[in-house]
Amino acid sequence: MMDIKQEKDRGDNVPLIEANDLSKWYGEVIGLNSFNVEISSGITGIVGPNGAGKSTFFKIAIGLIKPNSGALKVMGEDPWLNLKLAARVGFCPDYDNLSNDSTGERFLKLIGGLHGMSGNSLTKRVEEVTEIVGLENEIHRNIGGYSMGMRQKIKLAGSILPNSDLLFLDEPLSGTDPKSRKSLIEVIKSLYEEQGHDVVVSSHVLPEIEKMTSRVVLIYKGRRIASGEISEIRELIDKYPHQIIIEGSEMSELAKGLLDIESTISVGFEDDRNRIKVEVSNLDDFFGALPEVVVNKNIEIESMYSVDEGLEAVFKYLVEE
Amino acid sequence: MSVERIEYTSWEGQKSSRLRRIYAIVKKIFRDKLSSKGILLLLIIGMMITHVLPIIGNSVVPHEALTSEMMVKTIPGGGGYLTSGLFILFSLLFASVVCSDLISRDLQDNSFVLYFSRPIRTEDYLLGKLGGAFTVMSLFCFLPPIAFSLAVIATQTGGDYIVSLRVLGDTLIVGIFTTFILTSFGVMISCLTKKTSYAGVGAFASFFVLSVVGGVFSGFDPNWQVIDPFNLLNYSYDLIYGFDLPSEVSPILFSFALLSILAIPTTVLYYRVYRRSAGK
Repeated sequence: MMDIKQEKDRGDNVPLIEANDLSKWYGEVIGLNSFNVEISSGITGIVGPNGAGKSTFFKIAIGLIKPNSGALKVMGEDPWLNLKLAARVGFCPDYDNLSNDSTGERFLKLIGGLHGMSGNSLTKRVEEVTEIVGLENEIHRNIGGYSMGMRQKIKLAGSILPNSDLLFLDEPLSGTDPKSRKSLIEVIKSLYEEQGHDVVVSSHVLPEIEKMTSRVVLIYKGRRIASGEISEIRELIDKYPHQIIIEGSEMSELAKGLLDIESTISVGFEDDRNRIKVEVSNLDDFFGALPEVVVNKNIEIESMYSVDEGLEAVFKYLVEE
Repeated sequence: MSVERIEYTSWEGQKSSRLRRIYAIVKKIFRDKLSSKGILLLLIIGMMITHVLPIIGNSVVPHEALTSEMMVKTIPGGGGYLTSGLFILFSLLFASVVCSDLISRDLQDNSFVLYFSRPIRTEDYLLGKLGGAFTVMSLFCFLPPIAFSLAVIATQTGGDYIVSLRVLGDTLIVGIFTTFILTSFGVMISCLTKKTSYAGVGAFASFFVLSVVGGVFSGFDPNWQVIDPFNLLNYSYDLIYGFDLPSEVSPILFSFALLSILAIPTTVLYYRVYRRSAGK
């Protein structure tokens, strides 16, 4: 397991979130398994495949569920049934429980009401947050008519409405189109850089997190398997062999040529003679040398893809499964 | 990286008012329910049949004062305003529709998170939900009986307003009592299932099942009548308006049944929601 000490942007020594041997299981299913993490101020990404334990961690952190063992401190306090802390923390859930019959404004006013806000101050604050997330022209429409990106934005607006110190955003980009995703990433970045909220954001897509922050915690099967700067994690990932499938004609000729490339570890045929699996140690070197081999041997490639593009495969490398 | 807050004024308002949080939930429910065409239609039909006709009828017929008999005592060829059967039947129907989705929908779509990721206690959530349902239910179970009483008092020919006002006071209690029992029962059924339709039918059907059981077994022992929620409500009205229980019904068993219908729904409701909201 890799352990990279995170830099603390604001220079304080108290971690924003500190989990020690945190475990949570649902019957026989393990949500978190001796999860240890320290998160400091700024934007931190929690990255892991579906079912890795991201949402369980968030639910414990906002006090919705109680861990079976271990300890978690959020801003120095235990979140379990802690209303004082709940008032300082905003949460944007991964699932959509918005009422389609309600307007965006009415939804936000309900959230404000649940935080004890009311009157003109609440109206003003609703205007502020809708401007921050870029929904000022849609706020009087029924949520039922919102696109997926707009629904994510209104949830995001709800989480920042009470001006929480710390925001937990659970998969805020899921289900959104590329345009909305880009806009949401900008909004999330601004929440820290312009509004001063500390943000913990989860995703199962590493490049998405990479666009928001350089600090990540990788979680897999309920355990933290790495944490730190994304560049360092990428280097670590690159140390492990990558598998590439190439399909086309004359694959045996190509295989011979590929073995001459220095970064090629092994080449093997798959089900038929038109498909080979190549194991390489360095992707950049391999793809740099591949065109020359293809041109020299006059080979037609029909398709080529990496079998370990998915985060799941990366995690398997990291835990040496 | 240093943080520069740009053109941002943070919220500095009061964030600790508990009543305001409960009120936010009450307001949401009241607004949602009254924007439902189905509920409005049921409310209007129920109003016409159950309340408007008796109000007109009792106001135009000459009377000296508002009496308890007008409200509850069975008269030949009909019943008292509250005990003719229509009032409780429509109130139950209204409660089934109004309360059916209050908790079941939160269970179904995980809206619990919407509330409990905020500084909200289980008690606040329940008070908000019950308060919202109570407010809507009172439009049918509380305000019309008061309107009935005021209309009858306004058109009375006699001068004894003390008697009439005493009956008005009893009607206030009956209205609150009926609204509370039906609301808490309806919301309790709603917390037992994730399906709104099951909750609606369940609340309505469970009253009738208990009524049938009470009816069947009261042939063997008249005390079984107190199992029947319709009888229980009617006997309670009689007591509030100063009449006696039927002689064949044991006051102890009646008290026990009354206590049960007052306490069991709220207890079940609290336990169930606490288990859900406080995690496992």
